[in-house]
Amino acid sequence: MAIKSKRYQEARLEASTNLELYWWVFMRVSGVVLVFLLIGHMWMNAVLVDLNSIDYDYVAKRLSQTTWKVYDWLILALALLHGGNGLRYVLDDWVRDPAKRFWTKVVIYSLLAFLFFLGSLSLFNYDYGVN
Amino acid sequence: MYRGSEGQWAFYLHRISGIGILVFLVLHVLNIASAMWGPEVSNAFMKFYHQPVFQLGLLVLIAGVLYHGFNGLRIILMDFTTWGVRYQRQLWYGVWVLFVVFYLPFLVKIGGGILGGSHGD
Amino acid sequence: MQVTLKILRFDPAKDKKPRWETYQVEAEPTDRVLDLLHKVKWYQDGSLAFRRSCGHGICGSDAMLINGKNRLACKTLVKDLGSVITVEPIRGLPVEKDLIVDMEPFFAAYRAVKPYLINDEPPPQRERLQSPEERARFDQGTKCILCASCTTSCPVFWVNGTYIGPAAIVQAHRFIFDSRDRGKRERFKALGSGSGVWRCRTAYNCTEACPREIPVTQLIEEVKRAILFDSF
Ligand code: HEM
Ligand code: HEM
Ligand code: SF4
Ligand code: FES
Repeated sequence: MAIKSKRYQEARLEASTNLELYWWVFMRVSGVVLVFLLIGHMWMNAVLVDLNSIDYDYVAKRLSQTTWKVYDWLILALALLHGGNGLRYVLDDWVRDPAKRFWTKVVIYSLLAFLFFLGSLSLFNYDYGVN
Repeated sequence: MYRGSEGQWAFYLHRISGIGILVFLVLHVLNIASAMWGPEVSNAFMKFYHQPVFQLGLLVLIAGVLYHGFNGLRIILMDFTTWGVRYQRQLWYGVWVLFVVFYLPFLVKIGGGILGGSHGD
Repeated sequence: MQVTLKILRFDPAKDKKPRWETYQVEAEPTDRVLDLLHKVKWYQDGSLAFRRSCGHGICGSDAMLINGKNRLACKTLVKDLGSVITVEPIRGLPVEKDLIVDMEPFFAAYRAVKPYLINDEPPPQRERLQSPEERARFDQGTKCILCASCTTSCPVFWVNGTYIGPAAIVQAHRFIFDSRDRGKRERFKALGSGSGVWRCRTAYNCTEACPREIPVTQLIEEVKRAILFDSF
């Protein structure tokens, strides 16, 4: 990053503006990774097996394997960040009242953070007692 | 309604599908993570979601993921190549070709399941 | 031929909401929409308000939403529209009266990208030379007439008026890619915020609306890449 400002304030302005650029890049990088992860995920769980056979035993068996723990956790993290930031774009466009926008974001970010916590727990902190 | 062409619809569909997937993700993680509370809780959720309505919903969700994903690749090509913008229209038709190719197996498998009445336990 | 002309009108003194008004106008197929508006204003209803100046596509004052698309009334022929024609003010800017909108937010975005040559280096003896290739690099943007067709066709701008909009980005492109200019970092500051280029969702309405046939989306993407490569 090339900061050429003479004064601190200008430097801060320049530095802070790059944030939107980084999110823009992240949306593209995470998108490319997610296409493969998600098509693979949906294929394994909806084409290779019968949807109706998915139950506790099926999930427990899959989630006791490290490969799928890591695989699912990547989906969880990337999809929440990607979707959360995408939703931020949408809210910035559609909710124009600053107070309303602020509180909508507080509620939604909290929900997504909770989901990340819950999802991670279920993947790494819970022994399904299969092996 | 403004009479835009392909690009405008590509954008609206991308936005709506993106929000749709996020909503699904919330319900989906709650459903899967319920396994932490044991088979009774988990299987109750599973049974609930095995109803045909939700399987139809899942078909819509899969369509959303495939469209959003392939159109996302189109956006990336437009952003990072010198020719992507010139061929955006053709790229969008390409998105739909890929969509159909990848959607068919899901449609046959899940649609067949719904029609065949193999839902429930 | 007989044309049914529907105009979305608004009189701030009387109306709470815009209302449709229908006029029957006798027209030649080669008449322009601007001619129809004149016929209404001069012979049927003098209270109709709209802007126009040059009458031949160069001043940029008569962009309107005609049959669902942004176009210049002075460059749109009746034969290309058919016998029912609808005219609305361009969207996303406050309507002042009938087809006249307040252009100030549009010009504020224009000023934000500093649309003038920035170069503090001491000027050479005669002039700042530029090769034909260097001149061609930013040629497309120089054709812009600031009509606002592009910005007011953008689905993001309709709902989010803080978005700087395609026209301002086209103007920024014209200077960023000018070999004589040294001010690109200052322009990047205006373009790099959450209301700048990154709000563009590549919906292509701008490119299709531009009466000067500027490949607007192409230029916007070039500006995105210029900022990207400057920052990494
Ligand atoms: C399957 C792989 C995916 C790819 C290739 C992808 C690609 C993209 C890209 C490139 C953008 C930026 C659009 C733009 O700047 O015009 C985007 C936006 C977005 N994505 Fe994804 N995405 C994927 C998966 C997801 C998932 C799983 C979610 C939800 C959890 C999601 C939700 C969103 C949302 C809400 C937006 C914002 C839309 C907008 O601003 O109009 N995407 N996606
Ligand atoms: C056809 C549709 C889908 C089916 C049948 C399905 C099924 C499943 C199943 C059975 C699991 C348990 C673990 C595993 O098998 O890997 C799971 C986990 C998971 N799925 Fe899906 N899925 C689908 C689509 C999606 C989509 C579109 C997303 C992302 C937007 C997603 C995100 C996740 C995540 C994050 C987990 C891990 C949950 C946790 O943390 O406990 N799934 N899915
Ligand atoms: S880029 Fe085209 S549509 Fe936009 S203001 Fe300039 S001339 Fe009008
Ligand atoms: S009147 Fe000048 S551009 Fe149409």
